[in-house]
Formats: sequence, C-alpha cells, structure tokens
Amino acid sequence: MKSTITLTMIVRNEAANIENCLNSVYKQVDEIVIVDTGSTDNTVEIARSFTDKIYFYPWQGDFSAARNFALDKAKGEWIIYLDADEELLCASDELKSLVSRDQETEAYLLPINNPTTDFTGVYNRFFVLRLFKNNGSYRFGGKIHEQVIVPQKSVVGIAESPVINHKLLPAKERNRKRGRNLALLKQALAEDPHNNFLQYYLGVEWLTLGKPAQALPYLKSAYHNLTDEYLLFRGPALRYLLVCLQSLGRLDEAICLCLEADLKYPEYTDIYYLAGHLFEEKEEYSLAIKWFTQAVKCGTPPPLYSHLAGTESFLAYYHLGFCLERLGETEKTMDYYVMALEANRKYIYPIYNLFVLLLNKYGAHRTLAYFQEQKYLNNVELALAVAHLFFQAGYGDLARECLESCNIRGNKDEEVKFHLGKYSISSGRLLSGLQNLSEISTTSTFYTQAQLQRTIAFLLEGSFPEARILALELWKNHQTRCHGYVLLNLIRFLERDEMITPPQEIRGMDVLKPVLELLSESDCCLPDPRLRQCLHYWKLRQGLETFLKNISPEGYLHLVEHYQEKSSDLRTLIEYKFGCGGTKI
Amino acid sequence: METRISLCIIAKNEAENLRRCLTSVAGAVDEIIVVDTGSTDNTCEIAREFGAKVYTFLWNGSFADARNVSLDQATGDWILYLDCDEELAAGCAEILRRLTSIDDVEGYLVKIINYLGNEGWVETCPDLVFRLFRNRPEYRFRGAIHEQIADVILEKNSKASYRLAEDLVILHYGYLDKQIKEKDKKNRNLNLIEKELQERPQDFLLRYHYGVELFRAERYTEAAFQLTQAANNLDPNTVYFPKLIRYIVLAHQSALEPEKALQAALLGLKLFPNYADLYYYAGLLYLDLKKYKLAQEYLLKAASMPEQPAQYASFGGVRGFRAYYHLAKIAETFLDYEESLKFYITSLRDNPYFKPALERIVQILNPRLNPEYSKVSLEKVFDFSNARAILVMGEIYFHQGAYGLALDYLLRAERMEPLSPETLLWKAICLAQERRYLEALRILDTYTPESHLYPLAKFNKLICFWLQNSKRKVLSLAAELSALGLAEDTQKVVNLFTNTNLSAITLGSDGMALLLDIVKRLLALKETEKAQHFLKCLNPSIRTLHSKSIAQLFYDYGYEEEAALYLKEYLTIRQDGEAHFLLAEIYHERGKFLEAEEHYRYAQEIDPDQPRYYLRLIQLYEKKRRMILEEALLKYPEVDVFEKLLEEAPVT
Repeated sequence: MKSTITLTMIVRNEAANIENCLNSVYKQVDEIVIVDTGSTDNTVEIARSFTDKIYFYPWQGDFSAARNFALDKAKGEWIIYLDADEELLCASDELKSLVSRDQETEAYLLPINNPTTDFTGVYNRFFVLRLFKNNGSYRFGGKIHEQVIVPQKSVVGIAESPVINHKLLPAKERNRKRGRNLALLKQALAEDPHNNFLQYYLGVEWLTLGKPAQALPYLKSAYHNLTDEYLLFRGPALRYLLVCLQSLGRLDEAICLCLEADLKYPEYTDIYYLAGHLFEEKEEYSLAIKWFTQAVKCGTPPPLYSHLAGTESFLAYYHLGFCLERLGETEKTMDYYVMALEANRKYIYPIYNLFVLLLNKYGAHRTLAYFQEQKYLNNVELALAVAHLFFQAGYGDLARECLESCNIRGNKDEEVKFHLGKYSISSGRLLSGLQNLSEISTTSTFYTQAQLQRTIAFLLEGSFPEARILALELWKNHQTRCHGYVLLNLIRFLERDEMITPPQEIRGMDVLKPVLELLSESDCCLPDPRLRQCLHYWKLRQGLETFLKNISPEGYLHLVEHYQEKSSDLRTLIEYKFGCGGTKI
Repeated sequence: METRISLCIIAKNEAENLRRCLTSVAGAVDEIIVVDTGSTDNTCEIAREFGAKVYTFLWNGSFADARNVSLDQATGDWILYLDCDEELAAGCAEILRRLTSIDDVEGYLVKIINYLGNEGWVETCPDLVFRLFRNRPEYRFRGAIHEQIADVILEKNSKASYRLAEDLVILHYGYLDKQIKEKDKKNRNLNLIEKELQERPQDFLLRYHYGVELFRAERYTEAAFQLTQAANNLDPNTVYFPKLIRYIVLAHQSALEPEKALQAALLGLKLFPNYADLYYYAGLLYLDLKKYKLAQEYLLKAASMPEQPAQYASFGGVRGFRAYYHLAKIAETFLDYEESLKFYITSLRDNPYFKPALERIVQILNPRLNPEYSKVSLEKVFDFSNARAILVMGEIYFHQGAYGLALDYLLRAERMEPLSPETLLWKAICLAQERRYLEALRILDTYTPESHLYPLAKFNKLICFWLQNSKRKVLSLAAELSALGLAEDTQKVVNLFTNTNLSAITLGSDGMALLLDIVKRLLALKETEKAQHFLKCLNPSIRTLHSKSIAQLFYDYGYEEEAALYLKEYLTIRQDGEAHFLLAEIYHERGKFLEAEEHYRYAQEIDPDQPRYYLRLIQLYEKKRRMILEEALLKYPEVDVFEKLLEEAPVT
C-alpha cells in the first residue's frame, strides 16, 4: 500500500496565487491542510474548493509556530509543505513513488527554482527540505526562514524531481516582503548572534536590496563559519560573497576566493562562471574565456550545490561571445551568441550583440534574412526585441517585417500590433499602420500610445481633421494633455505653417518632454522613398524643431544637444564600423 | 685545373628567345646543350650558330625527361640550367667561374629577376631559383618544376650543401604580357604534379609547387588548401617559406576569403616581421573588410620596410607607389583631400608612370571648374620635361572633359614630337571646344578615307558646323557620313543633328556613350539648352535609365539644379546609394538640410559601407548645430551658454 501524503500550507492574502499552487499539487496528495494567519481577501474561499481542512491561527510574528500548528493538524504519513507563490512541477504519482522508494529515508531535499527576472528563464536552483515523514520528529525552528530541524542527517535523501517552482513576485510586493524580512532577521540575530544561517539570510537580504557593503560582513562570516556539512548554505554563501565583493569592486579578493574555492569544490560550476565574470570585468578577456569554458565543461553541478541555472550553458556562452568579441574574434563570437540563443530562447540578451555584429558585417537586409533563417522571429519576445533594434537603427521597414513574420500571437497580441503599427508608420506605410493600430482595444495598456501613433499617421497623411479629433481626445485625457497640445500645434503648423509660442508647462506638466520624445522617435523614421506619401515626414521634423525653438532658451539647448548627440552617435558608429572616426583618420 | 660549366636548355619553337639567351652566356660557359622537343622553326639552326650540341627529344609529356636528356649529354663539372625566355645578366661570367671553383658546395640558389608586364608599364620582381649545381649522374630532374632537383640532390646526398649566390643574376622575360603562355601548359603541369603527388604524398615541397600551379590555374580554394598543408609541414626556415605564406594570402584573397587571408598574413608577419608584401596585403585585406584605420597602419608599415631580401620575391611597388596609392584612396574615402593628394603625389614620385594616381589627382583638382588652379598645382608637383609626360597629362585632361587644359598640353607635346593621328583628333576636338573651329577643321580635313579615324573626323566636322549653325554644311556632312555605312546607333545620333523634331529615340549602349560624350562637350561649352534638347529627343524610359550619368555630367560642370532633377528621375526607377548621395550633396550645398539628411540616410541604408555618407552627415549635423546656436544667440543674447557653445563648436 502506498503511503499517504499531506500538503501543509500557511497563507495570508494569497488570493492571486493560491489557486495555481493547489492546482499543481492537489492530485498528488491525500490531504490538504491550510492554516490562514489572517487573510482579508478571498484566499480562504478559494482554498475551500480544494479542502475543508482550513484552520485559523492568529499571526504572532513567528513563521515556525504557524507552520508547526499546521503540522499538528496533518494526518498523512508524509508531509510536503509549499508556499502559495510556489507550484510543484510533478508527474502524476511521482511524489507517491518517491516516498515509497526506500524505507530508510525519512526526509527529502527537493529542488526549488527561483527565477531572477520574470522573462529570461534564468533561475537559481537550491535544494530545500520540504518532504518528510509525519512522525513527530520533524518540526520547524526559526522565526523567519524557518527550517525543518533535522534530528539525524543520514536519513535525509536528495531528489532531483519533483521541482518546486517559485513564482517571481511583482517588484513592489518583493520589496515590501524584503523590508519585513530584514526587520525580523535583525531581531532574530540580536537574540542569537552566532547563528550562521541568520547571518547568511541577512547578508542575502542586504545584497538583494543593493547594499553590498552592509551585506559583506554577514556573508563573510556565514561562509567562513558554516562547515561543509551545511553545503546547502555554504555554497550559496560563497556565491553571494563573490557577487558582493565584485559589486564592491574588490575584484582581486574575489578572484583569490575563486581560486581557493575551485580547489575545494572542483565540481562547482558557478565558481568558474563567477571567476570568468571577474576577469571579464578586469578586461582580462583571454583569462575570462578560460574560466567560462571551464564552466561549460563542468556542466550542471551535483544537487547539493546551489546553482544558477545557465552558468553551464547559455550564460557562459553569452559571456564567451562577449569576451571573444572584445578580442576581435568575430566569427567565433557569433557562434557563441547563437549557441546562447539556442540553449535558451527566453534569454534574449545575446540578440542585441548579434544584431550589432551582423548589421555591421552584412548590412540590414541580410541581418534580417539571417534572423528569419534561424527562426528567431517565430519567438515573439525575440521578434519584438529585434524589431526594436531595427527601428532604432533607422530601419523601420525591416522592423515591420520582423513582426509581420512573427505569427505567434496570444498575450502579446496587442503589443505586437502596436509596434507593427508604429513601425509601419515610421517607414511610410500609413494605411496598414493605421489598420494595425485600430485593432487595439480601448482596454489595452497600449491604447494611449496607439492613439498617439494614429494621430501622427493622420498628420503625416495630411488628414488633418481626423488628426485633430484624436489630438483633442489626447488633450482631454489628463495624462496625455501635453502630447495632445503639441500635436494640435503641429497640425496647425503642417496645415497652415503657423507656429505659436507655447508655454513651458501645462498644468504643471513639462511641454518639452513630449516634444523631445517625438523628435528622437522621428529620427528613427525613414520612409520608404518609393512611397511618395511621406512628404510630411520632413515637415513634421521641421515643426518639432520650430516648436522647441519657440518654447524657451532651454528648448534651443535641447535642440543643440540633439544635434550634438546625432553627430557623436554617427562618429561612434563609424569608429566601430571602420576602425576610425572623424574626418582625419 | 679549372672547372668546366655546361649550359643545359630545352627548347621548342623558341628561335627569337634562344638567340638572346645564348648571346648572354657567350664566354661564360664551356659547353651548350640544347634539347629540342619538336621545333618547327629555326630554333635548331640558331642553337648550332652558337656552337651548341643539339639533340632531339620526342616529346613524351614529361619536362623532367626532356631536361634529363640535356643533363645526360653534359660533360662539364657544373650544370647551369636556363629556360629560353631567360638570359644571364651582364658580368656574370666571372661570378660563375668563382662560384664553381668553391669545393664544398653542391648547388646554388641564384637570383632571378622576373619582368612583369601589366597595367602598361614593366616592373620587376626578384626571386631565388636553384639553377646551378654539380653535374653528377644521380642528380636528375623530377616532375614538372625545375626546383625539384634541389630535393633530389638532397635525397641522394644528404650532406649536400647549398649556398645563396645573389650576385649571379638571371633575367626572366616569361611573364611579360606578350609572352604569357597558354593555359594548356598550366593544366599539363598540374596533371604531372598530381601524378607525382600520388606517389609521394608526404613531399610537402612538391605540394607547395602544386599549390602554386593551382593558383596560376585560378583554382584558388584548392590552392589555399594545398599551400596551407605544405606550410603546416615544412620547416619555416626553408628559403621558399616567405613566398609560400604570400601565396596562401593571395589564394585566400582570390578565393574571396579575406578573413582567412588576413589571418595568414598576420601569422606570416610573426615569422617574417620585415616582409613588406605581407604588410601590403594585410593592408588591402583590412580595406576589403572596411577596417580603414588598420588598413592605413599596415600600408604605412609596408611603405616603411627596408630593402627586401631576394627570397621574399617582393612585388614592385608594395613598399612604394602601390602602398601610397591605396593610402591616398583611404584618405579620399574619408574626404581628406589634402592627405590624399599628398599620398598620390608620393606614389607618383615613386613611379612617374603610374597613371591611376595621376588620374585621381586630376579628378580631385576638378579641372573642369578650376582649370587654372589645377594647372598651377600640377605644374608645381610634376616634371613635364619629356613629351611622354606632357602627352599623358593632355590625355587625362581630355578624358576628364577639361578641354582647354588638354589643348595646352597637347600643343606643348606637339612642339617636342609629332602627334599620333588619334592624339591629333583629340587636339581638333579641343580646338572645337575652344570654338577655334577653323583650326579644328584644318586638322579634321587631313584625315583620308583610308584612316580608321575618318568617320570620327567627319563627325567632328559636322559638330563644328552645327555649333556655328551652318545648316547646309551639317546636312551635307550628315549625308556623307551616312554614305559611309554607319552603325544603326551612330546613324541615329547623326540624325539628331539634322532633324530637330525627333522624339522617343531609342539608343543602345554605343549610341548612348556617343550621345553622353556630346552632352559632355556641350556642357563644357555652356550650351545647356542644346544638351537638354538632345536629351529630350530620347525615349523617356531610356533617358531615365541613364539619368544618373547625365546628372553626374551636369553636376561636374556646375549645373546642380539640372543634376538634381535627373537624379530624382533616376531614383524613380532605382534605389541607388550614389544617386541619393549626390542629391544630398546638392541639397546640402543649397542649405536644404532636412532634405539633404533624408538622402544621406537613404544612401547609408542602401550602401552602409561608404564612410563619406556618414562623414558628410556628421558635417551637416555640426553645421546645423552651429546655425541653431547662432540663431539662439541672436534671440537670447543674455544667455551666456550659447556664446560659449558657439565658441567651442567645430567649424566645418
């Protein structure tokens, strides 16, 4: 007979997450115990559709106490506990067969993936003790970052799956939690000043808050005092300590630490990767290449090492490409950027470097052809990124083509349509641009921007009445009042060659800003010369310049700066392209 | 006892060359062996004239066999081996005696000077070859290449020592234009070497020769492969190695693999850091890759190299006029005309007959619009003491449409020596362009129907009368011309002069070239209306097709407005970087900055590898920035920052 399993959770105001979490796991467990510590939203209602074992426990500032309360209510032979912002990636019956795998093991470390950002697919992998026998000897300790206290190490096993996937919180939420954690941790450390785990957690919190100087003593102490018995903590402590030293600019110290650690933990990929990083920052590219190559060779480290996924593949490839580029090895550089993209299409950064390389080597059209051949543009994120790059390089038409061939729609549908419209307009295809923009619904986050682009399209087309209606609408909206005002004046300029002296501010909002935005955007425009519907593009530019001049001396200064930027951008470009800038080479 | 020297030669139908060759060795050798492989001319007689022992060899497809027959017959202690298209340089007899009296040497690498004829002048390329060795029965040729005997000797006698004898000089004329041999010979050589390579795949010196033959047969990718193989397995100290590297570079370059070529050149420079040719080619390759700064660096380095040792077989001009020419072009690419003139002049100083440099100089000086300035400038720089130089100058001015200057130089040249019929015709055209019709007609009348220039002379007479509005004369000359049986295109152009109501004329490329030349001459005469009239007679779609060249002509003679119209016409059918650029230049000059910017950017988009498109745009932005600052200062004189920025702003 198979063992029974109880899922325990403590929750508070998790209505947004809890359903997803329970859906991922409810089929794998026999019982669900949920302890609510004071929700004011409908968390409990949602939970009720999964279980009736819901308990209330008044919050007392102690996570362990709440969790132990949940353990008390569990009837299953095994316990798995999750947080509401997690999900279990689990094949059916995988959990059951894991707990009945052998008789000796009483608890399992499970992998947990912590994404670093929400779209690149980069995540940190740690192992955490989340699955254990409900025999009364496993209890939580610690008020925050509470851990299951392990009475006997030999009975703890490691499982590589199922994987717990931690959802990334919105930035605001994340910071709120950090502030709360920091306070709790400080308090706990005051009570227990030699607790290495607390030192570690406090270091990490400071580091993620962007205060490496504060983090350093904690991380140092955690790394030096934790023994290899606690490799689960010592590993990440080392990693964070290296990152911390790097961000403080203490590169040589960090490198020494890497050399030391590399002898002790030769299987630890992340060390090689971080060492590569350090040498890269020192501009020692050949050395950096050696370390990154070693990271790739090393592969995924054994489970006990906390590991940043990708350091053995796409992250290392990306950096290898970067270093080789610095050494002038263009051919190999491209190979590595391509490998990075192949290994993880969600990690889009290499596309920027690849784009610049290709553009200069083969020109814009062949660059697009290359991306199409590689099927990168089937991926909506990549297509949007590449399109943006083309647009900024002044190839609006190719930007449009990027998105036309990108046929995967879905949640990005409106974003694609908006950009398709914008790029079409920038390349003189006003009608199709307007068509794309008109398909964006009024509820879309892109709606206002779309209205702005539509106004410009009408303006460029010479359809002044239509443009005026839209501009008035923008004017009526408090947030786009300045844009509306600028556009109304531009319409008048294009229609009747009149330009007023505008005020510097409208209801406390700066008029300069939208003009400058429009001006730099208009710089990316280059209407297809075969389409003669683009006569107004240059007139629009002229209008924007006149507008700026009329505002104030500051407007003049901005315009002067604008031209300064344009010429220095070009100088940089030819320096990069031809190995020399300026008239004298 | 004095050593005896046998000269060995194989020959086939080499009567002319053989005489030169044998004359050169008179008194230097003790015996001449000529093996004839099937001459049908008087090669054998000539050989006997010089006292040669002549043997006949029935050609069996093997050079080695034929050469070895000559060795079999030699009785001297030493063999000097020559080809018919070679000769011994004067004064070598004594050197030869001295070299062959040294005991512990088995053979010598001697200097050969290859004469190359290309681009209208002769240049030389020195090299080393193995042509003097002891006569021993076991030393025999193998394969298609002379040089292989050096390997054979080493195989037979591992202690054999060779020496370098740069003072013994062979002159080789085989690479001159008129002498370049048919392709068959290359293929024959290739087949022979391939067969040999199958027998001895590890013979990397042979593989090197194979690569060279592949290169000559224009099979560049294979050549690069074989040569690289050879390089990877040969000792870098062998005397061939520098050349081998250069061949690898050239093979990759010709195979359109500039990156690989460059890599080879840079690697080669690590081994031979004074090898000018490698710097030169690296420079050219960087140019291909649009890395101008590096190109400049390497070309300068090439130009600064010391005298090259013979085994480098350095090409002419890589340390001089060629390097300077490319340096000048780079400067031109970056719109730095001062610098580019400096380099063109340096190039010409090194080789006064290097016409491309002179042409560029004239182009830059723009003699059409600034005749006096360009004349004075060039007079300062060049030595016009001989007729040839003056004539070349006249020719260049003529082709660039600076007829007044061309006339000056043609007249000066004529005072020194009579002009050829062709140059005389140019002179007539120049006179007509100066509206000195009587003098022009006097020259044109001297051409008789036998001359191939007769129709052209007549046509120019027609133009002279047409310019003077002598309708009757024009009609009768046109009739005479037609009676000569003109090509259809030419006839159509002639008709334009007689019939003012023609329209929608279609012309082929010959006709268009002729018409454009007439337009050019009319513009030089400031007869814009007449030029426009001719162009209007053309079929509009054909005119549009040529409107870029037409625009260029108008632009060259200062008619920018008309040029702009033709450029726009051209841009309706073709998106062309140069056309956009020229249009941008016109707008730029007229202060229409937004339009200029637009067209510079189109030019960039179409051809992103032209630095001047970017540089002109930068200049435009800087000019625009200045203007904005000036305007701001006028409007807000109390704001200090504008004045300060204006002072700091670069003046373009």
